[in-house]
Amino acid sequence: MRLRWVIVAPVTGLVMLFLVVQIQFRLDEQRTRVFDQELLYLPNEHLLTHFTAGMGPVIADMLWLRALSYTVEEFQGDGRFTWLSQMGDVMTRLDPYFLGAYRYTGMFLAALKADDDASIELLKRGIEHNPKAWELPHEIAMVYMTNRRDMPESAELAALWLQASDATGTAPARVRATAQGLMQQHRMADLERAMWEGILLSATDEFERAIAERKLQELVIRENVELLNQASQHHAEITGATPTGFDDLVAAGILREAPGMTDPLGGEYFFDADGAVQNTTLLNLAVDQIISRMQGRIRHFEREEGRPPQSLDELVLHGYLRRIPEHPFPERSWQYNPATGAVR
Amino acid sequence: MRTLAIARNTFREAVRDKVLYVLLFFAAAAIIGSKALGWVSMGQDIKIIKDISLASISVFGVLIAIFVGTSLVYKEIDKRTIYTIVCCPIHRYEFVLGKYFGLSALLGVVVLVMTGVAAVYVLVMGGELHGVFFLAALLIYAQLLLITAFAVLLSSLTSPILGAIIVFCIFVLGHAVEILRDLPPQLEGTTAASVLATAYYVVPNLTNFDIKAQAANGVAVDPGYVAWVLLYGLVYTAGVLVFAALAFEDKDV
Repeated sequence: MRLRWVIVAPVTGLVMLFLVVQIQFRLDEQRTRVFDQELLYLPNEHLLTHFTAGMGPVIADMLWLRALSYTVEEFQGDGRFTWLSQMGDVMTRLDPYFLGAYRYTGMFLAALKADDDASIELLKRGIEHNPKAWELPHEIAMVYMTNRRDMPESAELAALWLQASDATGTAPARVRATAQGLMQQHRMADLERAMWEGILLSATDEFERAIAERKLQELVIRENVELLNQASQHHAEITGATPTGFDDLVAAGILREAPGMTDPLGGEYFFDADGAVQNTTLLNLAVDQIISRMQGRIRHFEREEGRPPQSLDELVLHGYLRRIPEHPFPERSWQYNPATGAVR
Repeated sequence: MRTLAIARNTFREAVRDKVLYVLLFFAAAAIIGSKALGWVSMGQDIKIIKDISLASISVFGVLIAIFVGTSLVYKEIDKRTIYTIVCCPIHRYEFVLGKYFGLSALLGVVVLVMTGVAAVYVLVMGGELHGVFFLAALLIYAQLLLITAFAVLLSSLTSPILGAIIVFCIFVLGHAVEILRDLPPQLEGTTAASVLATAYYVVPNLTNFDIKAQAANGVAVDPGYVAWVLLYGLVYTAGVLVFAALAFEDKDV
């Protein structure tokens, strides 16, 4: 009897554990390949709410963990984030008070997928359920300061959302300082940097820190492009000709040496045909942002008309888009597939 | 007094049941183990602990209510111990009520212990506890009392297995009852819509008792709402217990 428990049971346990771990490794290898398909069958949030027998918040937690691993995978992979918006919707319908899901999914949608419409919609829904949370209006302000920085009223709207965040009475001091900075018309880039640095300092999670670091790197690239364009204009004023490369700027004595062609995020600086300096990282971000916006309009068209538009012009014709945005990359154009409704 | 004596015996009998400790062990393991999920949750660990704690209290409470409740009366008949009771000067309804109160007391202790463990664990993990957390536990208990009433009713009518299946279906349906109200627009004004709307009010609406999401996120709940839910539970439970007593009155033993 004793021998059975001392020898047979532990040996059986170890053998079983070894075999189970081996089989699980195999299964995991096969499962990662069908990750997208798995999300494709993510049930409708209304159905989930009704048939979870009161376990909605726990299922939302499990889905949150899945959403995090999905976001990290996409962040390190091809960065499409196709399912992020749907996951955010399902999580927050299952648990309408899930502050973290609103905040971080909103942040990921804006900062990583460049889908500012979906981000703002989710965050506004979060505010309805969590009116005392400073984080949600703060995230909307961030969307205006980053994704929508080129809109003429973005500074004003960002300041208003930051004031709303401050009015909750729980926001950190930097929120009020940024709101005041916006109202005093400080440079948006400086304020944005201060915000991301604040997030970087207060981040408790490695992934949140990684996003803040990436956004700070994007800011550096943006500033570099701005400085190089100033140098290019200066070159045109001095020589009367637009530069074709960084060597021209060095030759004219404007730059001491040619800058490295690669930015910290793997993109490249280049001169376009008009002699303006561009950066592929920033242009790719702009492409993602425009595609997200157009896909949103295409989905809207599909819901209303019961079919995808035949062409992007049809979106304009039916009033879903004011005009088709220009492709950020010079000499490239949008590729639209009417069968799938996908834009590239 | 006689009801109390039966309740006390039912409580003692249930406390000796090993199944209870197995379920309690799993509930405690789920609560303590929930921290592990929190490690990879981007700062949502306390919310996850609260969610899993409240879900454990609810699920394991329902399991105890179903498995113990549906065999309460049946077991007495099966083991023929009922004869020693019915020949005593005691009304049958007193027996049913005694059984019900005994199990309710046991569930009260279970909910109290699990809530205590969860509360201490949340505090130890550095979380904050709001009054709404305890209100959620109170409403879970009110829900368990209603489920127990159904279990006792079924225990007087059918076998434990069939009773457990039916009560479990009531539990699931009670949480899905809102679907009877959110009907597609094409059903508006039809007979089917009227039937389903009636069913919505007749089927026990267990979503009323569910404030777990607010509790985990520290969102305040109107005490007036809690009072109405408790009243709803009380009225429904009392009604089901009357049926349970009637069913047992008519039962040939």
